[in-house]
Amino acid sequence: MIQVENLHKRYGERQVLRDISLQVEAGEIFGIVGHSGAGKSTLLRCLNGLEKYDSGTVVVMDQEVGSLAEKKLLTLRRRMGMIFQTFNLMERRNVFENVAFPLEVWHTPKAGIRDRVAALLRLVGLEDKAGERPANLSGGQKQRVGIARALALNPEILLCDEATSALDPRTTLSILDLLRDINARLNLTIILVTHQMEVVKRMCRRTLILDNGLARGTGETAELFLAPPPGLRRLIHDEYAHISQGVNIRLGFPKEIAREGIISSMARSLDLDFSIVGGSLERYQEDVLGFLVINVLPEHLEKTLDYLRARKLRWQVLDDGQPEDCHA
Amino acid sequence: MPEAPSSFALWLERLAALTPELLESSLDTLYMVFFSSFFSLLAGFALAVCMILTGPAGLNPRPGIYRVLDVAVNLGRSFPFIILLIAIIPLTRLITGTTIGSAASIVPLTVAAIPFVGRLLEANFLEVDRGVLEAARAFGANNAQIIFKVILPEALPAIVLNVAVLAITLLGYSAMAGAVGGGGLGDLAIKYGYNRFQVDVMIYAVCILVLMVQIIQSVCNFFYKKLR
Repeated sequence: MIQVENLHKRYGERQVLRDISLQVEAGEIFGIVGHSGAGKSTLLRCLNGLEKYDSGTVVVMDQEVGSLAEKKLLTLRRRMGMIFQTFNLMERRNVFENVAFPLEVWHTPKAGIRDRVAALLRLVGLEDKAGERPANLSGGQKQRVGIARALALNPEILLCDEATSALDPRTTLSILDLLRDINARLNLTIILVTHQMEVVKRMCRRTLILDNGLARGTGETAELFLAPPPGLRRLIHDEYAHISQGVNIRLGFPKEIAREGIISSMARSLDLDFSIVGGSLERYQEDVLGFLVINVLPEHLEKTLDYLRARKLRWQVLDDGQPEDCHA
Repeated sequence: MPEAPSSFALWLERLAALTPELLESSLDTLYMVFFSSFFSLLAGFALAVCMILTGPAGLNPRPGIYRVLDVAVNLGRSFPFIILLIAIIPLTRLITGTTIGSAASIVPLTVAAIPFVGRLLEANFLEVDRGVLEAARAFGANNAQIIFKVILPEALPAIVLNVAVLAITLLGYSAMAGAVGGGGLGDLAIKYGYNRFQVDVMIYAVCILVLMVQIIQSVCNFFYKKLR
């Protein structure tokens, strides 16, 4: 569906994208994640030609975006919807008219617009808000209008630029569920740009991690987060407060044993004490994976690691907050 | 013995005598302001569209063209109106066939207002949220559609407020045009009130101008609230 190869872009002196390559398959939800200023929004805009790039190729639905003439580019954009962090709705148009905008742009007859917009508002659950101005809607409702508008022209690809970053956690989940529902129902390819790691974990089978214009990792989302390649850990892990004596070990629980009482059985069979420094449960699409950071005394380290190796657990030894050893 | 007329009756009589002239001058003023506003809005709109197309953050940046427009607008705006009035007399004669009267005043008023309108509307257009423009582009809208379906409608309330600024400015300018035979209330105030020491005429003319400013501003405020 989308192939990006060796993409470079600079703004004046500043290199914003460096040698980015990625592939997106039809029908998948692909994540692009990174901190602000990493270049992810720019990368997204290269896909529909809102931004030009200096070298490399961007092939979207068999067309090279950078070399398309203006007319062809507009026709390509017609097949790609886009939603935004700030929703970008027209304040002076009501909900109906906002959703109708792309249809007007492409000269859809009035009756066709009426039916299409009604169907879209039903899809996003806003059929009773057709006459409202955006100013009277909540953030989540505005984003639903944005989604309805983005789907108006039956696109094959939906580009999401920080679509949930301005929303509260509960609304975020409802918007993500809606996107996932649309992805399944319409077989829509979705590219999701975000700085929220939880969002890609929840939504994307595959993810590209962008840092300072560089692709720092790409692949299966769960693999990336469970066994991050060196240099990437600090980017994607929260740093745990740690105890000065002893060694911190970060454990990841694969899906099969996430629900077993692994910690207590380890304590029992090794007969030693360790403290729990931090932990979390994270949702990866349909799975819930657990993370736990434990602190053991240095003299017990080898014994503990032997046990972990035997149990085929994912673990990393964290030293001074900096991960140095890793076992996936 | 017939009663001497009261001062109020005298005043009323005087006002009645002046009314036709005040009325005619008022209509002349409205005529000048309306048409010069109308024509300068048309031309200024075209100018502002060119500026947001070619401008640094424009839809189709052309720094060379923008710099020329930018300097031309600044030049036009720095030109004292009274000088412009005289300087473009040949153009005025070419268009209207005369250089006196309110029809002739419309030409310099319009010419003076075009760069002003261009700048006001450019500012209004730039105020439209860039994200909204980007969204329109993302759905395949071309530049003409972005200008007429997005920028213009979104900027409309602010433009209406600037129409009041424009009309009131032109009302002031029209009084100046009156000074050189342009007709209208300014002409009346100077001819009778100043040159012939008929202070009451001058006061009436000024009162009508004040009233006009109030009405123009109120009407535009009304439409602004309605459009928002």
